[in-house]
Amino acid sequence: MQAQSVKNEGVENAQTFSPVFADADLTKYNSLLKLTAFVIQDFFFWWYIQMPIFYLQKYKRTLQVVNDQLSLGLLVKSFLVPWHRDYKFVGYFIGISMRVLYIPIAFTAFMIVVVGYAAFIFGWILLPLLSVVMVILSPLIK
Amino acid sequence: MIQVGDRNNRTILGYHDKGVNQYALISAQLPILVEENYSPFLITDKHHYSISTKDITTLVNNYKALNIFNSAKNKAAQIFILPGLLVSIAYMLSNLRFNQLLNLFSDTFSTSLLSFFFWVSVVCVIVLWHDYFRTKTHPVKLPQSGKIDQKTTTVIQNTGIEFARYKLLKAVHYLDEASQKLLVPYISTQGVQTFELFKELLLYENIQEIIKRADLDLNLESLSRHEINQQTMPEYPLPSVRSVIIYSLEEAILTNSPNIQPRHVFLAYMKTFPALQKYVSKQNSSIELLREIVWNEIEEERKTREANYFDLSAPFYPKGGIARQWVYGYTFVLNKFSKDITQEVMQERVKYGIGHAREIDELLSVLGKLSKNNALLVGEPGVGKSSIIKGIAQRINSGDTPLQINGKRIIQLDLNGLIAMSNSEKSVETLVQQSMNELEKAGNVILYIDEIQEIVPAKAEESGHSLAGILLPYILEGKFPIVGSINYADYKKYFYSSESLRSSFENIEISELPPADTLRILETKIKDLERNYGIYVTFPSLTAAIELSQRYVTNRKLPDSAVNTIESAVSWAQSQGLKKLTNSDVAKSVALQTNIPVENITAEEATTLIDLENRIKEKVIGQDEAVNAVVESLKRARTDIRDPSKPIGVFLFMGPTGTGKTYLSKVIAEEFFGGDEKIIRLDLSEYQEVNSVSKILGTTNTSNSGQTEVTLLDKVKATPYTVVLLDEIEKANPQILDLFLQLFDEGRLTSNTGEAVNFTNTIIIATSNIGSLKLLQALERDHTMWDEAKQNALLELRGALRPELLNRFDKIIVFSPHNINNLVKITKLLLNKLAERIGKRGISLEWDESIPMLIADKAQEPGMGARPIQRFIQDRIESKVSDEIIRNKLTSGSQVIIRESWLRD
Repeated sequence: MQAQSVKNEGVENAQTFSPVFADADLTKYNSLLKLTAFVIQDFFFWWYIQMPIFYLQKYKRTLQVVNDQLSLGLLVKSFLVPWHRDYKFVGYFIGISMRVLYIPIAFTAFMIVVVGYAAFIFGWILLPLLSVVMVILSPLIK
Repeated sequence: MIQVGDRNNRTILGYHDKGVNQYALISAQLPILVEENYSPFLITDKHHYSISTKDITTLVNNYKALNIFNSAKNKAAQIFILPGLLVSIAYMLSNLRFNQLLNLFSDTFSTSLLSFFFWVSVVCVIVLWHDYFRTKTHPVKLPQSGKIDQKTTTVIQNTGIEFARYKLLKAVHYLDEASQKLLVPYISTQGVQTFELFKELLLYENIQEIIKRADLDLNLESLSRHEINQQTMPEYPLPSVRSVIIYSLEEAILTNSPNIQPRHVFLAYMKTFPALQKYVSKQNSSIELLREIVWNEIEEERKTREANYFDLSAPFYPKGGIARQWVYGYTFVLNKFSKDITQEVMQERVKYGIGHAREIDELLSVLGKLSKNNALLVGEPGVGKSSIIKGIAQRINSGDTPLQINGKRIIQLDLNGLIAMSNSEKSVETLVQQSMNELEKAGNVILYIDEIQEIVPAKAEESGHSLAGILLPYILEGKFPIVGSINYADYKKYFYSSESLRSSFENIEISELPPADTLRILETKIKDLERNYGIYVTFPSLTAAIELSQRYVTNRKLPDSAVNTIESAVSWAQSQGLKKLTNSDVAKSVALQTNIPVENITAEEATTLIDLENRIKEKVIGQDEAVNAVVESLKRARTDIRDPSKPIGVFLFMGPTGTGKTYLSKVIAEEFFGGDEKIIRLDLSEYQEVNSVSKILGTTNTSNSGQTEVTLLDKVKATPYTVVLLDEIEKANPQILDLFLQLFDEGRLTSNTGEAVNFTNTIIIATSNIGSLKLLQALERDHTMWDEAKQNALLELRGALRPELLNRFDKIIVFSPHNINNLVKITKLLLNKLAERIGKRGISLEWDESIPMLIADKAQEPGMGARPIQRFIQDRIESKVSDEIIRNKLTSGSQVIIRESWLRD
């Protein structure tokens, strides 16, 4: 193991990346109050920034999966392709009829997912604030 | 040992000497850096990981502080959640007014109180949710790292590390919760309790699983036995934790883990502490094997996660959905003599195509072309041609294919089924035409024909046309992709000569998998084997299966030979009632299959081997030099010291007739190979013509008409562990001697059909009569001229055989003529054998002590060796005894004594 002189410039200027927790020097938070404040700050960061981004990414993935599983996009794109590629009148008739019947059902199911998931995300954002407000307002209810 | 999981080219370890501001690289022995001045780091292709003592103290303080705080917070939440939930449920039920008691409840408590409890419980749920899911939804993940290219390594070795080009990360950030929980209790300002930490590691279930999988005997009770204690693993100062974490990080990167886990700390320990390194070495294991086990576990966990469509860490590939088949045509006729591979692999959990990523990509690019999209997979049997097709089918099922291949089905044509289906109403041509039309219309089928060479000889009964001729127009039109698989010999035979067939396909060569990829394949089979046979499969048994099949099961290539070997071994272990499969079990199974002793030498066998020389010398009289040379080569073979790519030994025996050259070969077969039938003898005086090569290599005509001659290669294939005796080598045709050049050097011969036969488990003994005349003349003239005659004989040998052939013999030995003492010993041996044969009839044969000497003296002929003695005994004694038996003078229970009068003329 022979030590050698090597270029070391840039070490001090190198970018760092770290999650919120790990870099925090909690010895600074030497009282319960300060520690509580730190944890609350972390909670809000997670609940209102990290998780909504996460749910939006999941939302997009869910819509991709649902669209793919229901074959919605595929059937719309291939609307005029006859049934099992039977290029006769019967094939065209059955193909279009099946699509006319199926696409609205699939689209409805798709929209339920769209609205339901969006409602979930909305509820997620609302829930903590609503809970705290309701805890405060509860004594005022008759 | 197979090279598995090596760390070359993915990580570079080093340390920074802050005192002199210099950096150094760490290569082999990993130090534990205890001084604050020396700061370890790790470099990957894109990142630079650093660690400091401050990072560690921050980690420990954070963990402790948060642990206490979170613990208190969670307890409080748990206290408040339950009453709140109960109250809210009761409140809701009371509003329904179906129970008087609940009505009383709602009348007793005010709405505001109930509402308060309910919303407090909601806040508690949110607090607990945050606590539980915070690290699960956003775990800190190690960034992906690839291989460090050779150019960068060279630059680093010559001029140093340019740290500016790497992103700086802190190693402590990547410790998962379990690792933090493991390390923190044993770290204090005084130092780290190394031994106590290791004992804690051994209590972890997944570490115990690694140890069990590696077939190691390592637990709390066995530590002292292996000198793993407080002395060999002492307490180290605090800065030493940096080394442990950096080495654990390296293991996490090498095992493709998302973070540093306790099992990586275990690996770091095993590769750093000398006591543990010594233990691993004594157990015939290695850090690479342990790392491979961890890699496999992490890979299994990743596959389980990726099976979920909603896992964001895995890409999503659209597959078409439930109505996918609406847009593609039917294949009613084709379905009757084919099978859908894409459907088949959907039911299976095994991953196909491992180690063939390049070939799969090549095949996908051919199949995705608009024209000339037929492919031919060419490779030896067992290299994985079918696995590649199934691998593509799996990728189609998961959607991970180019757009043109997306949603396609792979249909395997059953040629025999097609021919069987044809009848008077529908000829083969009609069936083919109908199914090809269906294929064209379907638009989403890839046709796969396994053993595609079968289409050439297969003929339609009615018309007599070959199937290849019927299919050829469709192959040439290229309206749908066709994939065939074929081995080299059949390609040469059937495709090479047909320009149209050859040019219709793009060849993709499939080569044998290296051992490391084969190990990956065997790893995927562990769960299925354990489930089917109820036997625990250790990793050393997998590596043993690969090594042994490479050496001893040479009629198939990797990975097929290794897969067969491990399955046979597990099946054998089950029949023996074993619960765990170890490497020695695999060796026993291979030994049974191949009749080659590949297991470790037992005490009994060791005694046999030590005594082998004496036993052979008792039977082969007066040729000690030859016996010693052969026995040494046999011992080297049995202890695996020799070069495994050559035959056990290659010897040339010369000398006068009757001195025991052929007899020694027979005795070796009997004493070492297990029977005097374990000898393949070629009289090379019958191989003087050029066409005699076919007697060794076979012919290219593989048709089944008529009987085929059994060649040398057939015999060695059937009995790979044997003596090969090449008598009168000087008489063989020069082309045959050329074959022997390859045979003696590389231990294999390739037949005319392209099959390689392995001779590395044979001992090859050639005999020659070159120089016999000179030796005989020397004996007749003057026995003291023997050495000079020997030299002349060797000179004559050099003139008769090419130097490159002579150079390939391990030893050339001239057998000495027998002196009278040797002849007497030989006589006694022959008389004992005769007595044994006669003894089977219940008759005992006796003789006076002087008889052997008399016989030897009477029968000896200079330069004729032991044969005159044999003929003499035959004529004078055997004939006499036979005569007496025929005349009924000798019956069971009789005794016959050899008389001197019998021996006189």
